[in-house]
Amino acid sequence: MSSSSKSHPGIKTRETKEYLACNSQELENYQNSEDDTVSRILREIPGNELCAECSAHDPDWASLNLGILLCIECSGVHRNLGVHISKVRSLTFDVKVWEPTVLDLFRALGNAYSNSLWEGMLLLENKRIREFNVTIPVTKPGPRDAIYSKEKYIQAKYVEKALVVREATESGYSTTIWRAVKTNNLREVYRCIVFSDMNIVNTIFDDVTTVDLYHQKNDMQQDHECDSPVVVDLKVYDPSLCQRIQDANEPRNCFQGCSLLHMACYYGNRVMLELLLQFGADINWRDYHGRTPLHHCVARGDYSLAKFLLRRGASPAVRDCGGLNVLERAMEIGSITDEELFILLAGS
Amino acid sequence: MGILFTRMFSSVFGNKEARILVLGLDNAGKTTILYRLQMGEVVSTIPTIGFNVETVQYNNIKFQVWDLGGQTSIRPYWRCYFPNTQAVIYVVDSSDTDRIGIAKEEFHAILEEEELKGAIVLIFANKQDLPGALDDAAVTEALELHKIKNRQWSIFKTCAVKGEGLYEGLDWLSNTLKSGGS
Repeated sequence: MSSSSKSHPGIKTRETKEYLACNSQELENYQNSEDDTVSRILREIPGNELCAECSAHDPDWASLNLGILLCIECSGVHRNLGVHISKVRSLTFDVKVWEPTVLDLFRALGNAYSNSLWEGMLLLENKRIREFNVTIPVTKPGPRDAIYSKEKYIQAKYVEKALVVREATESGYSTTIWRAVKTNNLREVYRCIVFSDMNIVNTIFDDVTTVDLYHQKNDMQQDHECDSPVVVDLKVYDPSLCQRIQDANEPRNCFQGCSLLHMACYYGNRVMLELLLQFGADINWRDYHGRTPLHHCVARGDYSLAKFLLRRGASPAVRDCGGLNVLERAMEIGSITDEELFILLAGS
Repeated sequence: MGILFTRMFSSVFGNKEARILVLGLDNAGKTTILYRLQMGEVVSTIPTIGFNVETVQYNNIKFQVWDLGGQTSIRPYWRCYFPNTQAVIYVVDSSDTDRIGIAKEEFHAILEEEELKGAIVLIFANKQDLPGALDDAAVTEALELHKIKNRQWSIFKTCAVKGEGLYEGLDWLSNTLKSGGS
């Protein structure tokens, strides 16, 4: 956005809603039924009665990954940041997106908590903690301020992270986030994502572990292609030949090469998966043995979580380094009693 | 008589009119493209609940461009605007790889529409400036454009906020329309 910005062209929201409603009764119906529940649930979360940016009343837009509610004007500014920073949806016009896990994620976050991190500097100023000697680099806009000042603020807040007050950690955010996923601490995971300057969501177990990895690093080749027909040469990666998995009779026992998503699957917290996915975790990431989070869920017999991953775009076609896809691994364990899961897995 | 004369006059001087629909998921960049074409500027947009319509004159064609809101619950109302449409501009946020599958489904649903069977299709792989944006070849594959039958189509990489690629697309559109491509 540049200084040549003009205010909103075109339509006035209320009139066009009426226009659409004239075409069909449907629009009015859904606005009065389901969405009211969604809006009510979301607005009850602390801080959510006001837009997270300009404090306008009754915000009816949201950023899915940031876990905040916005007014329509600030939602327009958020959309310009790109989906890698903010994924904007409507509380009333994007009905399907408000799944229970997303609502739970918003319950865990919300405007008050989210802003306590993104606007940490403003809190310090409010508390008049002068010893920090903070100079606020940008002014928080009000609902009636020009869109230009909202653009400037939102850009500084989320792209430059100009108002974030980072706390020192002894072990770094990438270690902290792994611990937080293990303890199902959603807020702590979110905090690490906000504070970290790197793509912390796609770190792997090997990056942070303090214990020795089971498999020697020199076993590993760069970009090992488990899908290729020459599986013979890659036996070393085959999960069914992994001594650690065999010994413990525990399919998930080897965490080498695992992502945070694999870990979240292990602990079975669906809302944690939602949070990581919203922040761009790779749903088809393969561990040392070529297994995706979906492989892990099925190995664990967590069919409900497996279906959740499939609905979110996990590929059932990926083969692990033993050359088997998820369905074949599931059959190995026993018959699949869940018909829906069978169909989803076989659909590849 | 007056109308007839106007029509003859227009055809002699190549002054065609065309009705264009700009479609795509929410936040693909439809409104930004519309106003970039119409005013040559980047405007601050808010989500479109309903539509914007503007006239854009280009290459002796007067385009009546309809930009329709892309939110899930608004998409079913697109069909109200289908009749008498010569071309569809389908806009994709190339950096939103999570939703490219949904963009594909909506796209092919549009192609199935009887009322749009004569419309040519221009695809804008937009937001090329953002990290992780798929290029035109990747968007072609993700949208399964090779499945398009009996219809003229083309895809262009665009960056609406910089104005890149838009006029290349309009050139294709106007040339195809002039050659009676629809």
